[in-house]
Amino acid sequence: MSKILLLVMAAFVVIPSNSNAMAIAYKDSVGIMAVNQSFHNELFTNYTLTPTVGLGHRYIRYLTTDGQKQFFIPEADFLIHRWNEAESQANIYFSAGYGAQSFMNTTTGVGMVNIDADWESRKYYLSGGFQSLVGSDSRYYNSGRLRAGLAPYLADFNELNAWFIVQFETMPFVANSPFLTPMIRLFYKNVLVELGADFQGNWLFNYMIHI
Amino acid sequence: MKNFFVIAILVFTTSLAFGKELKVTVNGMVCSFCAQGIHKKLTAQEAVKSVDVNLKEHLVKVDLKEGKDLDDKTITQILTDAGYSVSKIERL
Repeated sequence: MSKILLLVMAAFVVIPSNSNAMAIAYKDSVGIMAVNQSFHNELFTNYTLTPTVGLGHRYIRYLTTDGQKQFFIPEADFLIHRWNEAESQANIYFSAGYGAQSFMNTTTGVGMVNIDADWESRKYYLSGGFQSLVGSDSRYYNSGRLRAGLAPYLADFNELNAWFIVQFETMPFVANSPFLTPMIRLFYKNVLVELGADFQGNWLFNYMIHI
Repeated sequence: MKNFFVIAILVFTTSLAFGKELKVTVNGMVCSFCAQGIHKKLTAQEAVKSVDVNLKEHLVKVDLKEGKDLDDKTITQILTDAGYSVSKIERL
Protein backbone atom coordinates (compact mmCIF):
# COMPACT_ATOMS: atom_id res chain seq x y z
CA MET A 1 0.00 0.00 0.00
CA SER A 2 2.80 2.41 0.90
CA LYS A 3 4.34 1.87 -2.55
CA ILE A 4 1.06 2.84 -4.20
CA LEU A 5 0.92 5.94 -2.04
CA LEU A 6 4.46 6.83 -3.02
CA LEU A 7 3.64 6.39 -6.70
CA VAL A 8 0.60 8.64 -6.43
CA MET A 9 2.69 11.25 -4.61
CA ALA A 10 5.43 11.01 -7.21
CA ALA A 11 2.91 11.48 -10.01
CA PHE A 12 1.64 14.66 -8.40
CA VAL A 13 5.12 16.01 -7.84
CA VAL A 14 5.86 15.64 -11.56
CA ILE A 15 2.88 17.79 -12.59
CA PRO A 16 4.32 21.13 -11.47
CA SER A 17 7.55 20.52 -13.34
CA ASN A 18 5.58 20.14 -16.57
CA SER A 19 3.77 23.08 -16.26
CA ASN A 20 -1.74 27.08 -10.11
CA ALA A 21 -4.92 28.10 -5.67
CA MET A 22 -7.44 29.80 -4.94
CA ALA A 23 -9.94 26.98 -4.95
CA ILE A 24 -11.53 28.62 -8.00
CA ALA A 25 -9.65 30.45 -10.73
CA TYR A 26 -10.91 31.33 -14.18
CA LYS A 27 -13.19 29.03 -16.21
CA ASP A 28 -11.43 26.04 -17.81
CA SER A 29 -8.19 26.64 -15.92
CA VAL A 30 -6.10 24.06 -14.12
CA GLY A 31 -4.65 25.02 -10.78
CA ILE A 32 -1.73 23.41 -8.97
CA MET A 33 -0.87 24.50 -5.45
CA ALA A 34 1.68 23.08 -3.06
CA VAL A 35 2.23 23.85 0.61
CA ASN A 36 5.50 22.61 2.04
CA GLN A 37 6.47 22.86 5.68
CA SER A 38 8.59 20.52 7.74
CA PHE A 39 5.45 19.20 9.50
CA HIS A 40 2.93 19.63 6.66
CA ASN A 41 2.78 19.05 2.92
CA GLU A 42 -0.21 19.65 0.75
CA LEU A 43 -0.64 19.28 -2.97
CA PHE A 44 -3.88 20.55 -4.43
CA THR A 45 -4.83 20.23 -8.09
CA ASN A 46 -8.10 21.40 -9.50
CA TYR A 47 -10.05 22.24 -12.59
CA THR A 48 -12.34 25.26 -12.65
CA LEU A 49 -15.55 24.17 -14.40
CA THR A 50 -17.43 27.44 -14.08
CA PRO A 51 -16.55 30.77 -12.44
CA THR A 52 -18.01 29.40 -9.18
CA VAL A 53 -17.46 25.62 -9.27
CA GLY A 54 -14.33 23.49 -9.45
CA LEU A 55 -13.31 19.88 -9.02
CA GLY A 56 -10.04 18.92 -7.42
CA HIS A 57 -7.87 16.51 -5.51
CA ARG A 58 -5.93 17.21 -2.33
CA TYR A 59 -3.01 15.24 -0.94
CA ILE A 60 -2.11 16.17 2.66
CA ARG A 61 0.70 14.92 4.85
CA TYR A 62 0.88 15.90 8.52
CA LEU A 63 3.59 14.99 10.95
CA THR A 64 1.26 14.71 13.94
CA THR A 65 2.09 14.01 17.55
CA ASP A 66 1.13 10.36 16.76
CA GLY A 67 3.27 10.09 13.63
CA GLN A 68 2.88 10.71 9.93
CA LYS A 69 -0.65 10.78 8.48
CA GLN A 70 -1.58 11.08 4.83
CA PHE A 71 -4.87 12.06 3.25
CA PHE A 72 -6.02 11.63 -0.35
CA ILE A 73 -9.21 13.54 -0.97
CA PRO A 74 -11.16 14.24 -4.16
CA GLU A 75 -13.17 17.37 -3.59
CA ALA A 76 -15.69 19.86 -4.96
CA ASP A 77 -14.86 23.54 -4.66
CA PHE A 78 -17.29 26.43 -4.61
CA LEU A 79 -16.94 30.17 -4.76
CA ILE A 80 -19.78 31.12 -2.40
CA HIS A 81 -19.56 34.83 -3.01
CA ARG A 82 -17.25 37.37 -4.60
CA TRP A 83 -17.25 41.11 -4.12
CA ASN A 84 -15.63 42.87 -7.07
CA GLU A 85 -14.96 46.51 -6.23
CA ALA A 86 -12.92 49.09 -8.13
CA GLU A 87 -10.02 48.94 -5.67
CA SER A 88 -10.47 45.55 -4.03
CA GLN A 89 -11.79 42.03 -4.27
CA ALA A 90 -13.15 39.75 -1.52
CA ASN A 91 -14.10 36.08 -1.70
CA ILE A 92 -15.64 33.28 0.32
CA TYR A 93 -14.82 29.72 -0.75
CA PHE A 94 -16.14 26.38 0.44
CA SER A 95 -14.75 22.94 -0.37
CA ALA A 96 -15.91 19.49 0.64
CA GLY A 97 -14.66 16.03 -0.19
CA TYR A 98 -14.37 12.44 0.87
CA GLY A 99 -11.37 10.18 0.41
CA ALA A 100 -8.82 8.03 2.21
CA GLN A 101 -6.44 8.53 5.13
CA SER A 102 -3.36 6.44 5.65
CA PHE A 103 -1.72 5.89 9.03
CA MET A 104 0.53 3.04 10.15
CA ASN A 105 -0.21 0.96 7.02
CA THR A 106 -3.95 1.24 7.60
CA THR A 107 -6.25 3.04 5.19
CA THR A 108 -9.66 4.31 6.25
CA GLY A 109 -12.16 6.86 5.01
CA VAL A 110 -11.97 10.55 5.72
CA GLY A 111 -14.22 13.54 5.05
CA MET A 112 -13.04 17.10 4.61
CA VAL A 113 -14.52 20.58 4.70
CA ASN A 114 -12.64 23.80 4.01
CA ILE A 115 -13.85 27.36 4.42
CA ASP A 116 -11.67 30.20 3.22
CA ALA A 117 -12.18 33.94 2.95
CA ASP A 118 -9.93 36.66 1.64
CA TRP A 119 -9.86 40.36 0.90
CA GLU A 120 -7.21 42.16 -1.03
CA SER A 121 -6.40 45.47 -2.60
CA ARG A 122 -3.27 46.19 -4.57
CA LYS A 123 -1.49 47.07 -1.32
CA TYR A 124 -3.10 45.03 1.47
CA TYR A 125 -4.13 41.43 1.83
CA LEU A 126 -6.08 39.55 4.52
CA SER A 127 -7.19 35.95 4.50
CA GLY A 128 -8.42 33.28 6.84
CA GLY A 129 -9.28 29.63 6.55
CA PHE A 130 -10.50 26.64 8.50
CA GLN A 131 -10.08 23.01 7.56
CA SER A 132 -11.62 19.99 9.24
CA LEU A 133 -10.70 16.41 8.45
CA VAL A 134 -12.93 13.82 10.07
CA GLY A 135 -11.92 10.18 9.81
CA SER A 136 -14.20 7.17 9.79
CA ASP A 137 -12.27 6.18 12.93
CA SER A 138 -13.88 9.26 14.60
CA ARG A 139 -10.54 11.08 14.82
CA TYR A 140 -10.63 14.65 13.61
CA TYR A 141 -7.99 17.14 12.58
CA ASN A 142 -9.01 20.80 12.72
CA SER A 143 -6.66 23.51 11.57
CA GLY A 144 -6.96 27.26 11.13
CA ARG A 145 -4.98 29.91 9.36
CA LEU A 146 -4.92 33.72 9.31
CA ARG A 147 -2.79 35.86 7.04
CA ALA A 148 -2.05 39.56 6.66
CA GLY A 149 0.05 40.98 3.86
CA LEU A 150 1.50 44.22 2.58
CA ALA A 151 2.89 44.98 -0.87
CA PRO A 152 6.09 47.05 -0.58
CA TYR A 153 5.47 48.53 -4.03
CA LEU A 154 2.59 48.55 -6.52
CA ALA A 155 3.50 46.34 -9.44
CA ASP A 156 1.48 46.19 -12.60
CA PHE A 157 0.31 43.26 -14.70
CA ASN A 158 3.54 42.11 -16.29
CA GLU A 159 5.86 43.02 -13.44
CA LEU A 160 7.25 41.00 -10.60
CA ASN A 161 4.89 41.38 -7.64
CA ALA A 162 6.16 41.08 -4.07
CA TRP A 163 4.27 40.79 -0.78
CA PHE A 164 5.39 40.61 2.84
CA ILE A 165 3.02 38.27 4.64
CA VAL A 166 2.66 37.05 8.21
CA GLN A 167 0.84 33.76 8.71
CA PHE A 168 -0.68 32.56 11.99
CA GLU A 169 -1.51 28.88 11.91
CA THR A 170 -2.95 26.53 14.46
CA MET A 171 -2.73 22.74 14.18
CA PRO A 172 -3.31 21.24 17.64
CA PHE A 173 -2.67 17.72 16.35
CA VAL A 174 0.84 18.77 15.25
CA ALA A 175 1.84 21.12 18.07
CA ASN A 176 0.16 22.74 21.07
CA SER A 177 1.51 26.18 20.17
CA PRO A 178 0.45 27.99 16.99
CA PHE A 179 2.93 28.72 14.24
CA LEU A 180 3.75 32.32 13.32
CA THR A 181 5.52 32.46 9.98
CA PRO A 182 6.75 35.59 8.20
CA MET A 183 7.19 35.02 4.49
CA ILE A 184 7.72 36.72 1.18
CA ARG A 185 5.35 36.05 -1.70
CA LEU A 186 6.55 36.64 -5.24
CA PHE A 187 4.55 36.21 -8.40
CA TYR A 188 5.10 36.81 -12.03
CA LYS A 189 2.49 36.01 -14.67
CA ASN A 190 0.98 32.62 -13.73
CA VAL A 191 3.59 31.47 -11.23
CA LEU A 192 3.50 32.31 -7.54
CA VAL A 193 5.96 31.27 -4.84
CA GLU A 194 6.10 31.86 -1.08
CA LEU A 195 9.22 31.49 1.03
CA GLY A 196 9.31 31.78 4.77
CA ALA A 197 10.50 30.46 8.10
CA ASP A 198 9.29 30.81 11.68
CA PHE A 199 11.40 31.58 14.75
CA GLN A 200 11.61 27.89 15.63
CA GLY A 201 13.37 27.17 12.35
CA ASN A 202 10.38 25.64 10.55
CA TRP A 203 10.72 26.55 6.90
CA LEU A 204 7.96 27.10 4.36
CA PHE A 205 7.94 26.84 0.60
CA ASN A 206 4.63 27.18 -1.24
CA TYR A 207 3.90 27.57 -4.91
CA MET A 208 0.92 27.97 -7.17
CA ILE A 209 0.50 27.77 -10.94
CA HIS A 210 -2.56 28.48 -13.07
CA ILE A 211 -2.54 27.00 -16.54
CA MET B 1 -32.85 66.53 -42.01
CA LYS B 2 -34.15 62.95 -42.19
CA ASN B 3 -31.13 61.93 -44.26
CA PHE B 4 -28.80 63.54 -41.75
CA PHE B 5 -30.19 61.35 -38.97
CA VAL B 6 -29.96 58.22 -41.11
CA ILE B 7 -26.32 58.98 -41.95
CA ALA B 8 -25.51 59.84 -38.34
CA ILE B 9 -27.02 56.54 -37.14
CA LEU B 10 -25.14 54.61 -39.81
CA VAL B 11 -21.84 56.26 -38.90
CA PHE B 12 -22.48 55.66 -35.21
CA THR B 13 -23.39 51.99 -35.57
CA THR B 14 -20.55 51.37 -38.01
CA SER B 15 -18.07 52.82 -35.55
CA LEU B 16 -19.55 50.55 -32.86
CA ALA B 17 -19.22 47.49 -35.03
CA PHE B 18 -15.69 48.11 -36.29
CA GLY B 19 -13.94 49.82 -33.38
CA LYS B 20 -10.18 49.24 -33.48
CA GLU B 21 -9.61 49.45 -29.77
CA LEU B 22 -11.77 48.60 -26.79
CA LYS B 23 -11.29 50.01 -23.31
CA VAL B 24 -12.93 47.82 -20.69
CA THR B 25 -13.16 49.07 -17.10
CA VAL B 26 -13.06 46.09 -14.77
CA ASN B 27 -13.95 45.82 -11.08
CA GLY B 28 -12.03 43.49 -8.77
CA MET B 29 -8.89 43.46 -10.85
CA VAL B 30 -6.28 44.01 -8.14
CA CYS B 31 -3.95 41.05 -8.54
CA SER B 32 -1.93 40.30 -11.64
CA PHE B 33 -1.59 36.60 -10.82
CA CYS B 34 -5.39 36.25 -10.59
CA ALA B 35 -5.98 38.39 -13.70
CA GLN B 36 -3.93 36.16 -15.99
CA GLY B 37 -7.15 34.48 -17.13
CA ILE B 38 -8.36 37.77 -18.63
CA HIS B 39 -5.30 38.07 -20.82
CA LYS B 40 -5.33 34.39 -21.79
CA LYS B 41 -9.02 34.22 -22.74
CA LEU B 42 -9.14 37.52 -24.60
CA THR B 43 -5.94 36.78 -26.51
CA ALA B 44 -7.47 33.48 -27.63
CA GLN B 45 -10.28 35.33 -29.43
CA GLU B 46 -9.90 35.35 -33.21
CA ALA B 47 -10.79 39.06 -33.44
CA VAL B 48 -8.15 40.13 -30.93
CA LYS B 49 -4.74 41.43 -31.96
CA SER B 50 -3.37 42.29 -28.52
CA VAL B 51 -4.46 42.77 -24.93
CA ASP B 52 -3.05 45.19 -22.36
CA VAL B 53 -4.06 44.82 -18.72
CA ASN B 54 -3.56 47.89 -16.51
CA LEU B 55 -4.22 47.24 -12.83
CA LYS B 56 -3.64 50.85 -11.80
CA GLU B 57 -6.34 52.19 -14.12
CA HIS B 58 -8.58 49.07 -13.74
CA LEU B 59 -8.50 48.88 -17.50
CA VAL B 60 -8.21 46.14 -20.10
CA LYS B 61 -7.33 47.55 -23.51
CA VAL B 62 -8.17 45.23 -26.40
CA ASP B 63 -6.69 45.96 -29.79
CA LEU B 64 -8.83 44.37 -32.53
CA LYS B 65 -7.70 43.02 -35.88
CA GLU B 66 -8.65 44.97 -38.99
CA GLY B 67 -12.31 44.43 -39.87
CA LYS B 68 -12.94 42.24 -36.80
CA ASP B 69 -15.17 42.92 -33.85
CA LEU B 70 -15.94 41.62 -30.41
CA ASP B 71 -19.41 42.43 -29.13
CA ASP B 72 -20.11 43.68 -25.62
CA LYS B 73 -21.89 40.44 -24.65
CA THR B 74 -18.85 38.32 -25.50
CA ILE B 75 -16.46 40.66 -23.70
CA THR B 76 -18.65 40.70 -20.59
CA GLN B 77 -18.92 36.88 -20.67
CA ILE B 78 -15.14 36.44 -20.91
CA LEU B 79 -14.53 38.83 -18.02
CA THR B 80 -17.27 37.16 -15.93
CA ASP B 81 -15.80 33.71 -16.63
CA ALA B 82 -12.46 35.07 -15.47
CA GLY B 83 -14.11 36.12 -12.19
CA TYR B 84 -14.47 39.86 -12.68
CA SER B 85 -17.21 42.47 -13.21
CA VAL B 86 -17.33 44.82 -16.17
CA SER B 87 -18.31 48.35 -15.28
CA LYS B 88 -17.82 50.03 -18.67
CA ILE B 89 -16.93 49.22 -22.29
CA GLU B 90 -15.69 52.02 -24.57
CA ARG B 91 -14.94 51.74 -28.27
CA LEU B 92 -12.29 54.06 -29.69
